[in-house]
Amino acid sequence: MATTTTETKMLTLCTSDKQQFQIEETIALQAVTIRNMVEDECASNVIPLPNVNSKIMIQIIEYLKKHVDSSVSKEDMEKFDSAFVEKKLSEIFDIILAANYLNIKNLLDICCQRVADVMKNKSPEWVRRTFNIVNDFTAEEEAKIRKEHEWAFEGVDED
Amino acid sequence: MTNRGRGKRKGEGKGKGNMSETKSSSSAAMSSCNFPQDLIVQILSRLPVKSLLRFKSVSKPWLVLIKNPKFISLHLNHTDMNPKNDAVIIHGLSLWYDHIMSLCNVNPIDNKPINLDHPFPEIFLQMDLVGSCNGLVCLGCPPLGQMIVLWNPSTRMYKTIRLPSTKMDQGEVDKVSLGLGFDPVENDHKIVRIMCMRPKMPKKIQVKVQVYSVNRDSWKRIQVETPFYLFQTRCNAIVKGIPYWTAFIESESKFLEVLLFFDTQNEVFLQGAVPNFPMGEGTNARLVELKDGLASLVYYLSEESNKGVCVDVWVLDDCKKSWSKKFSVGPIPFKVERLIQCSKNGEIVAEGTKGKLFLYDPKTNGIKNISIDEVQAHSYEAFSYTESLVSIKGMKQLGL
Repeated sequence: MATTTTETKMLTLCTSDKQQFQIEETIALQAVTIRNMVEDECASNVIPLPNVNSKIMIQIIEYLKKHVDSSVSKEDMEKFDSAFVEKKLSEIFDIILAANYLNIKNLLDICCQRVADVMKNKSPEWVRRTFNIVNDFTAEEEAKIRKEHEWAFEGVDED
Repeated sequence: MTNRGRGKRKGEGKGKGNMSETKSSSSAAMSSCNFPQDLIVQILSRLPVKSLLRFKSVSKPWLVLIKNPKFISLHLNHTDMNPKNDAVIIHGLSLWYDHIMSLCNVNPIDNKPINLDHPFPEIFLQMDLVGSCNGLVCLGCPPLGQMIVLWNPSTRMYKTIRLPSTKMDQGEVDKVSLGLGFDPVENDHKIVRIMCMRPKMPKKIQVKVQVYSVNRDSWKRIQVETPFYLFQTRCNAIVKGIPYWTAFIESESKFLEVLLFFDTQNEVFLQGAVPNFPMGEGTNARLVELKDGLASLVYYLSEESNKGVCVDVWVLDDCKKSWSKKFSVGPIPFKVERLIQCSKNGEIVAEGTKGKLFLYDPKTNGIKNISIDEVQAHSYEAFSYTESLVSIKGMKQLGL
């Protein structure tokens, strides 16, 4: 097994919990934030990513590795994406924050779509709990707004 | 309906994939981070209209966001780009001459059309589905356009458009043709009302055109350089907010077929290349919007007898100068009487025998029956439709 070690440039990413990840540069550069750091040469050997923890980084690397592979067909990529977002909402939220910080557009898109798909049949109460939102309507105000679109409450999932 | 005391319900979520998430929601779902507003916008702009109307009652900031015109455009953009949002709106006349409007999601998940409450007054026996643009649907009363309604089926809001004064200086109005368009520069929807005068030889054909601007809420007369005549009471297709008609102009005392479209920004009619494909006997054609371009579905019985109808799809180039054949589909595995429309992703709506309505997927050669109960044969019209929150000043809620 003579591994042809053609100089694959590696980058080291350091997460908020001080874990180091060595990955190929081509994989990492899909994240626009990392690309900008490398291009501006403010990145030495180790790129600090203080907004991403290692647990999320592992998942993001999994995503980036798949998406750098140009041999994957469009169909298979879509399959991968839809399987990738089958996670708990809490994890998806963390990935959204990381994808936003790292500027990985497609990952942000599929995760936002996933949240939308999960919440589309939910009640306003569920949404408030999930997003930590305080209901700032008075009971009268809320009743009035609900009445305007009463039919939009048909077929809502039970909480 | 609301379930307070969630602590007790923890772990009750059997069978539903989402329940595990509900459990962790209030504390863990958002971790400790404050979710930035722009990410909330990204998520909400991917929701169906119905969900957004429901989520207006989440909080005051959400209510303000969902009503914001910039958010409404972003949402429309996302809905339009998502290939899963592929729908057609269908009009049919019932056996009792009621106008039935239905919405059919082309996605395989639900392909039974859903009947909609619509705002068109019952007293008009005739109704045209003029077209749909940015989630607004225009309904008109042929042949003289004496009733025009703009309607958003997803928000159930509508507005009856006040008609312009129709003092004609001479001649009789033979027919009025309506078109719907959108001016992206002014962010304005426009209705084009074309009055074709009865051609009386040796008099030349005459046409008068008025344009309604939703922003101005008023009509204005526009001048037409080359008069034309139309046989149809509505535009043939709307592509990216531009309505198209096949029309006839007079040239050396002969009628010449032309392709007309209305430049919604400059408010002038322009001409594009006429479809020039061979039209043998038994060949029919239909102008449609296909993947953001104008296309013509040319259909004919396949040469190998009893094999059914074949369709050649011709597409107009972006400069509107020439037509080219892109691909052929078929033969369609059922008896087609006519092609009605195609959806955003290219599924074909066709009428079979005895008023049956079908959706045909050229990629899989599959067909789905989407017939609407008790609709008269040959009365179907359809338009591709993208749902939106778009609203116009003066709209009223249906049924209130």
